[in-house]
Amino acid sequence: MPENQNRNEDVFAKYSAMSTAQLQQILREDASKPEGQEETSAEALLYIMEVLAQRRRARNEGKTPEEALEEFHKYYENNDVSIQIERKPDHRKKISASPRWVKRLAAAAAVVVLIFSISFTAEAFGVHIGKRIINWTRDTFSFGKMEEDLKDVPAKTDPAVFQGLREALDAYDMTDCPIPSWLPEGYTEHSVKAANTSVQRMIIARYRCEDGDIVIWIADHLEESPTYIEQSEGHAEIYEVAGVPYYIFRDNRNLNAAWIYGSYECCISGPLSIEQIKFMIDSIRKG
Amino acid sequence: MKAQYKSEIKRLYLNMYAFLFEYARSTLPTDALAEEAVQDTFQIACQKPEAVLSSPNPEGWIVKTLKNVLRNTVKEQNTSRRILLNYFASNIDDITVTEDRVKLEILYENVADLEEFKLIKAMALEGKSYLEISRELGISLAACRKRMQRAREKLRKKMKI
Repeated sequence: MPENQNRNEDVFAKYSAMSTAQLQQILREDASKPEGQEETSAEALLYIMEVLAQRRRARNEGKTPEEALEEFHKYYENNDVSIQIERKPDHRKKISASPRWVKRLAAAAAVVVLIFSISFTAEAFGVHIGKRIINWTRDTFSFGKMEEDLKDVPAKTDPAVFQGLREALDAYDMTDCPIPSWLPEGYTEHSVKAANTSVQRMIIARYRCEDGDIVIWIADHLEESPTYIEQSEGHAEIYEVAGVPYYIFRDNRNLNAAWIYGSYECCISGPLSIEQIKFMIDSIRKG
Repeated sequence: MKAQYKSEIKRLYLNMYAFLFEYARSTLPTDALAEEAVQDTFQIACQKPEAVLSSPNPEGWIVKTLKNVLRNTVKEQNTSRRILLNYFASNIDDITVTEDRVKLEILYENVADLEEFKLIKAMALEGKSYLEISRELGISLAACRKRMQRAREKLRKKMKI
């Protein structure tokens, strides 16, 4: 009906003015909502999808439906998908972290792991910070893309290995990322490693003493994508400093603080007390 | 599948593919994974044509199925990444910076040569779809899915997680 169509276009015209990233965010949020709790109407979602599809066609990207259908007939139609599509996520089911997989890399491996480019999880309450989302769930997972190159590795004394976290950040053009300038007594720098992939840059600094390791992990996205920091268990305390919320939570033996600063996703993890981690947070500043 | 069902599913496919792709792409990190999610959705629709076509809202049925596909895809990726992360975590000291500072070098130990490790890495870290991986390996899509499932189980047992 033309009248209804015109009214819809007026109502949804705001979406046409939004950026692609904003529209994708709306779709992503819809996908993350349990059935019946979606906030965006089906008509609005269809409008958004159409806008995005038109933009993609204008860029001459992606397959046409006919091309995709051909691929479907060739590869998918007669193959068993073998995925349990009918099983919906159980929002009340606790996925307990196996204590056996708590590893030395406290910042990410055992407790807090950054997920890149995955937009939703089954059980979460979210705090939105621009395009980045920090969600607490009971599941954990890992980094984004990594590239490998099995060349010879330089020795630790080689000048290519960074002497400090600040130097590594500067070398990877992450100069505007503030870092802690305080560590508990007894910790010395053990290593600073860097990784650069097609979608992110990542710096991992490890400080060691008898009690264990403190790891500071900073990652930067090179393209826009949603990000989640997830914990395996434990209560989260939000400690706000200079308008930046720091999410503090414990998992097994480590205390962790995770936060987002601009495009940077950051994490501290180690055998720290709440006071120590707050001192570290308080000391965060540039340069 | 009856010809009538085929015709209807095809109509739904051609009308909805572009929209569903955008929906999937907003959630998944690569075009390949998003395409595969849509293909999987319609594969399920082909398995249950009566359920789709007798629904008062076939388009809604398709979208709902896609949502479930996306959830499962994310779960699979999460599981795979967790398996890999456990390995990386226990070997983090081996990660070093190369001379040109632009590549991550990981010194694999006893899992480096495992086919399973490479499979999981391709999906979990490189965002490749089953179809892409199956083409690289020269195997069928179904075989690839099964191989991935076995790979996860094997590495999970090996790393005791």
